[in-house]
Amino acid sequence: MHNNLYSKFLQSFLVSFLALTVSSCATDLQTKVSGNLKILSKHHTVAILPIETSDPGQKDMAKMFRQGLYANLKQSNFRLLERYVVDDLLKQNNLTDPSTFLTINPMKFGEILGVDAIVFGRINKVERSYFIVHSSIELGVSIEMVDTRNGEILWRAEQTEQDIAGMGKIPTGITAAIFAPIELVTNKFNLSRMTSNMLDKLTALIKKPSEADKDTQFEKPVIAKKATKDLKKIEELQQLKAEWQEAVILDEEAELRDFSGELASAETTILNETNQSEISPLKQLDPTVYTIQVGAYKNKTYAKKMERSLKKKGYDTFITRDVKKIYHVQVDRFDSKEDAAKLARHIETKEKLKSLVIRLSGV
Amino acid sequence: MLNGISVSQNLFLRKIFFFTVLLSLLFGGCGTVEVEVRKNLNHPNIHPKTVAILPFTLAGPTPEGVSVHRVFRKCFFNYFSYLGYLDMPLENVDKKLQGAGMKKFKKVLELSPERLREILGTDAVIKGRVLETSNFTGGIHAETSIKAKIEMVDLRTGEILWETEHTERTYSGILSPTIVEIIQDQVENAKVQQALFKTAEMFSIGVIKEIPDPADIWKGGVRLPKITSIETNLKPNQKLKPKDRIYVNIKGDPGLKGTFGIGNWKSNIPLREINPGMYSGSYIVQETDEISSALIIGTLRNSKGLEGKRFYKNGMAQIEKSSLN
Repeated sequence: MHNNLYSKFLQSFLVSFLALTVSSCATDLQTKVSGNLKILSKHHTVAILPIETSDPGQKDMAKMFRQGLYANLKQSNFRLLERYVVDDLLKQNNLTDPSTFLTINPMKFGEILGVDAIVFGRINKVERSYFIVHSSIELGVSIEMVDTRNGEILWRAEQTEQDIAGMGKIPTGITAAIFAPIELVTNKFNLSRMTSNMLDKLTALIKKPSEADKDTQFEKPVIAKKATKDLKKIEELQQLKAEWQEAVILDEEAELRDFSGELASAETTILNETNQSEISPLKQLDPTVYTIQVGAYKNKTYAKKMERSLKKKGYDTFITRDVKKIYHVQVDRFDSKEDAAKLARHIETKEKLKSLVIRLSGV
Repeated sequence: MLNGISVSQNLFLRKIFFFTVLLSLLFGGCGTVEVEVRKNLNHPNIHPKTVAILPFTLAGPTPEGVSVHRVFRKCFFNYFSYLGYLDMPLENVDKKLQGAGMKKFKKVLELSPERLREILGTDAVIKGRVLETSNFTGGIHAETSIKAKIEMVDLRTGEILWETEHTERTYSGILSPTIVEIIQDQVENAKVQQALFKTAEMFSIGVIKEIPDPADIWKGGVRLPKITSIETNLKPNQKLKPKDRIYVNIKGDPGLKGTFGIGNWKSNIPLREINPGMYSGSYIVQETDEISSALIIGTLRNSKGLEGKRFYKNGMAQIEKSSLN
């Protein structure tokens, strides 16, 4: 008799325990933050961008989620840019489609919105299912916070939250078994409650970044894809500019050398003039060919790239290399400096390229 | 037969009535807050732009002595800031009130709109009174509730713009109990502070849904401080050494607070307005600095806290590696 009672108690306890652990609100949260998140303070401003949806029917959920994000991140160390300011500035810049936001360099958002970081969010899933004595709601979101000053990802998280009603929760009567599943999927309040619970867990770490441990912190700084690309472009451009400046200095030195050479030749001519009866004109003594220099690179690939681009546009372009192993991209050959200067002006205006008329060496 | 209705018909009608009541209890009520909007606020000149949320008051005792009014005010502020008002931070509101000699916040509600406008300088205030709170956990029932009255008063006219008196309850489904929910709710409800916060949160979400949002009146009207140009002495590929000085000049709207930053490594380095709209400043590289490929960012900030930013893309700040080692 006692054994029978005990086994019944054990059975019901096990069922309850299993139901509690398996069937109740389930959360799957993966979140990571950067160590640099801690440097954000009340001096820094963050914008929460409109949330991307994977289905047009998720608009309400997106609004609710963004509102909840604002409320939760108000409790963090940084300042939030007001929602209406964000939306208006995005509209003024024709950025109204959240699905395109991740393709834009975060630095651009930094300038458009005047913020230090931005938060992208996406609703991946809002699923309601109903099977008479069982129903469920499943929500899925992903989020990313990026520093607009260097493109570093400060926070990345993905979360799914599920709630069920019906047999899985061991109803105590027929009402609970039949009406609870209907109530779960039809009452909008449940979605609101679930979103609120989800945001509590999702934002817990960002509200207290000092509590991040090894598992929840990026090992090294992660830079957003788009920012990496654009920063590389800026670096390349700076490299080109540095080389260009170096080459311009070299060319100026070469010009000075040419000029002193001309002076020396002129002096020789004058000396010859005094000694010889038949005077050879300077031009005949030194038949010069001019060219237009449009670029100078240490890296041959860059020079080749420019050569190809100009050739495509119909310019007679070629590359020369000097003793300092600098590759010079040059256009055409001219007998007269004036003719060269004319085309140089045309190149500057049409191709927006800085150019220099120089003597063509080795001719 | 009873008044022309048979006993079986009567029983059937009773069942229908019972289920209608049950359904209305199950699906109705939860999360809906009745807000009475007293004035049409569509016109931009009528709509208050700046709002301060006054300290909420508490009428009676609270479960476990939790300061529900403080929790609720903060929670309400967090949600309210989503709307298109310029909301004054709560610390600033409290500081201004204390500065005006208001040691006890209960008396704040007695102040006239004129006096409040004088102290706070806002177009409107939100007043909140927590009237009743409860937190009960027992048997198959667990319930937390907050009854409060919240209103927005236009300080320019003294009119109440909207108001609500509502009781928000979070409770386990007493009409549809399940073993799991009963245990879960009992556990959650026992954490009083958390349960009260959750209830305050649901209350706030409900109010925010119903009150007028002036976000639309700002459409096209937001303007950030303008920076027309930024210059630095950084050259492409230049490597900095300790004691090198980075000079930054920006040109933009006059009369603002100018600063500059070096990537995300250092920010808020002050710039001085040397001529109207011309800001200048510098930073001397230190022995301990670790800067690698950082862009210089100029910032101008206006009195509303809005910032205009511009990147200098012709050079990056980077320390020579040997100086880093």
